[in-house]
Amino acid sequence: MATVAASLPLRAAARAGPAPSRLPSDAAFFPGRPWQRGLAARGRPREPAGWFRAEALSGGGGGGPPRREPMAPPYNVLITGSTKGIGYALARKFLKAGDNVVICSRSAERVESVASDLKKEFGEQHVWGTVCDVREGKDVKALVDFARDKLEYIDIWINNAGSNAYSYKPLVETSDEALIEVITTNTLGLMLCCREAINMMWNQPRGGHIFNIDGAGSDGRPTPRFAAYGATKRSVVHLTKSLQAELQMNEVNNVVVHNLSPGMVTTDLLMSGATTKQAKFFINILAETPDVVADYLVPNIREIPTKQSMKPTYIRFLTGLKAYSRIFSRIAFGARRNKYVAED
Amino acid sequence: MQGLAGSRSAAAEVYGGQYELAVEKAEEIFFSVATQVGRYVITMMSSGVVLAVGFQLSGGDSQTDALIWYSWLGGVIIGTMLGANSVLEEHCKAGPRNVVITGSTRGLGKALAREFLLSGDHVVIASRSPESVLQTINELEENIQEGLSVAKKKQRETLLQAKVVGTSCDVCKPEDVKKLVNFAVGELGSIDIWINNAGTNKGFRPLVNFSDEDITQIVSTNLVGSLLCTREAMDVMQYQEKGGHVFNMDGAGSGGSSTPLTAVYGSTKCGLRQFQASLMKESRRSKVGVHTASPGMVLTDLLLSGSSLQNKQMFNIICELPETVARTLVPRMRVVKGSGKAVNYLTPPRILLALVTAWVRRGRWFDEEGRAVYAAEADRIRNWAESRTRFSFTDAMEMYTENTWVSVFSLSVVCAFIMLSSSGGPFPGT
Repeated sequence: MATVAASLPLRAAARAGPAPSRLPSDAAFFPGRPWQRGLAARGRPREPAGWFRAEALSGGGGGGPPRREPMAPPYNVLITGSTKGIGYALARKFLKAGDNVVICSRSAERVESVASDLKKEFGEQHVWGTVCDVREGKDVKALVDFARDKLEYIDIWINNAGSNAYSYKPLVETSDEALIEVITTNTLGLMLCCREAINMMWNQPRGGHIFNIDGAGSDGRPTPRFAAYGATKRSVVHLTKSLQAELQMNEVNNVVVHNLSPGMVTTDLLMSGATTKQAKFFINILAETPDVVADYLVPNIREIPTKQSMKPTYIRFLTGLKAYSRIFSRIAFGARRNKYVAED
Repeated sequence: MQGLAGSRSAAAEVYGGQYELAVEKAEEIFFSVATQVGRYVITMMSSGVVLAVGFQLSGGDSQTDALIWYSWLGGVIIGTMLGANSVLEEHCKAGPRNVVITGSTRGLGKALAREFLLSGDHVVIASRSPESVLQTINELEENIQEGLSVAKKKQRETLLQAKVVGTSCDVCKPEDVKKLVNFAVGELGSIDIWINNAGTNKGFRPLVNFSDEDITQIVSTNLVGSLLCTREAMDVMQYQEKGGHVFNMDGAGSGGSSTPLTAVYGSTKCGLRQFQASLMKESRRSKVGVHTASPGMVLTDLLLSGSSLQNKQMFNIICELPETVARTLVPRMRVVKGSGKAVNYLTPPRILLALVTAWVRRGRWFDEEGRAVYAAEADRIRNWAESRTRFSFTDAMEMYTENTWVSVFSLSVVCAFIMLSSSGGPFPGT
């Protein structure tokens, strides 16, 4: 049923969308037409398709269609929620690789202190910080303006801001505030960021890559004690999928949305749940420090623009094989016992 | 003399009246028993025929023939026991349920409310606007009155129990949801079934063309609202003696397939499916059942907003009116047991039927220019009492509980295999 429902609206857009002026209105939605493919092959600038056209023109792209440029390092990277945890580790790794990074978070003090620390370490012209609450549409818009102002364009946008309200309780005991915070940060914030990111990047000569960070529950498996968090993370993966389909439908081929899976990272978010025996067991076996995870993820992320790849990917730190082999070595040899938290 | 005669005739009249009443009652009981028996006889016979044909085709001999009939008998006995169990349970659990439906002033929610009322339940209507709640209550009460005027005796009794109340409630506001719960408990005493039906979509277009307000509203209605309502409902139900059942509505994207042009809606619905899995784990030992209900594609504003000519042609094949869907979902919701059940409208046989009859279904709801050809809601409801009494084949199929079908067929086959294997296999040719 879902497939039927999902495939139906495709045509809806074709009909209802504002028709691009230079091409017949259907052209954008029938990518198989040979004459159009010919256009693309000759390297002519891509015509803004259907829905995206109006946005593009109003989005400050000027008159003509955008030029295409290959992406080359150093990359301009924007990471949301990057003053602590995995976001901070990622920012440091990108800076070490020589990229320019925009950091942001909800708290002004944290942004200030982290930005000044990083500036001391990596130089004034590589890191910028601003306050941004991803749940507020105007904050996200301001973030885009800030990034455009400082760096002109963004190559890699990482939607890292996430919350589980640092509570691990059955749903019935969860407070209103916690529920609303989790959902608005993880789902609403992500959607607003994705929207602004696509809007910004699709008009850039270099295009862009958006990475959404998944979490427990993304695969659809149950997450008791943090049901709301799991549901939002499941919706992250689904949003990525839908956006990929949407972009493909509209022939936007310079913006790609990816998923990024850091696995279990020993941040506040995870460690606040280390209360049951089972949780401690798995944290000791599977979790890694943010630095280790970032060490793995950043080269993999940077590889995508370097290889000029425009295919959606799902970068995973903790693959199934890795997880099972660790569980095996723990049970067989007692490895990693009490690594982060005392189990007994 | 005359007086005596008069009293005698009066007595005879009284006696005759009692007699007639008794006969009527006996007739009624006999009829319902006969229906049940007839239903089972037909099921058993058909399973026997299927088995016989199957074994005949596979080239059975006289020995296997006897075994078929033994296995069929075994299947019949076990199937009857299971079926009787479910019938008894249904009978014992009869009586009004207290139902809360969010977002029930239009579309599917309203149809569900109406159907629950028809089954004699107590229903709480909730929606954001107080005016539309009031209007819906009036409308539904009118429906009940209309129903009463045409209903037969037995249905009349159930209809008289029906009761509809309502309050305004914005599901994304915690305090509103708490108020709704208190209202429902205050009015009805307890809540047996809670349906999280409130959901919104805001049309079909790419994410970049959604405004902040649209995204916020979709996320907070579909995700925040469902979570808050589920939490409050579970909180009340876990202290109730009989527990309760919470239903979350599926939608496009629930299964995990991508939903371009409704990315926000799809991903909230997808998140809800995972939420359901988590809830089942959390509420394993509690008395509260958490379930999903999938209405398939329903001709409501949610679907029709922003639909084009082409998808209207598609809608002809697979879509249904909200009343039709509610009529199928409600009986199943009423008797749901345990936890983690999925009450679906679009079951595989229905999809198959839709695809097979696709050609016939052209122009069912929309003509070639995309104009709606189905009656407005008010007109549909006017004919509703008659249409309910009309016999429909698919409904008749639905009347058999799935248990009966599954048990009769599978057990016959299982018995057959057990008997075949235990008989030592002295078959020629093996």
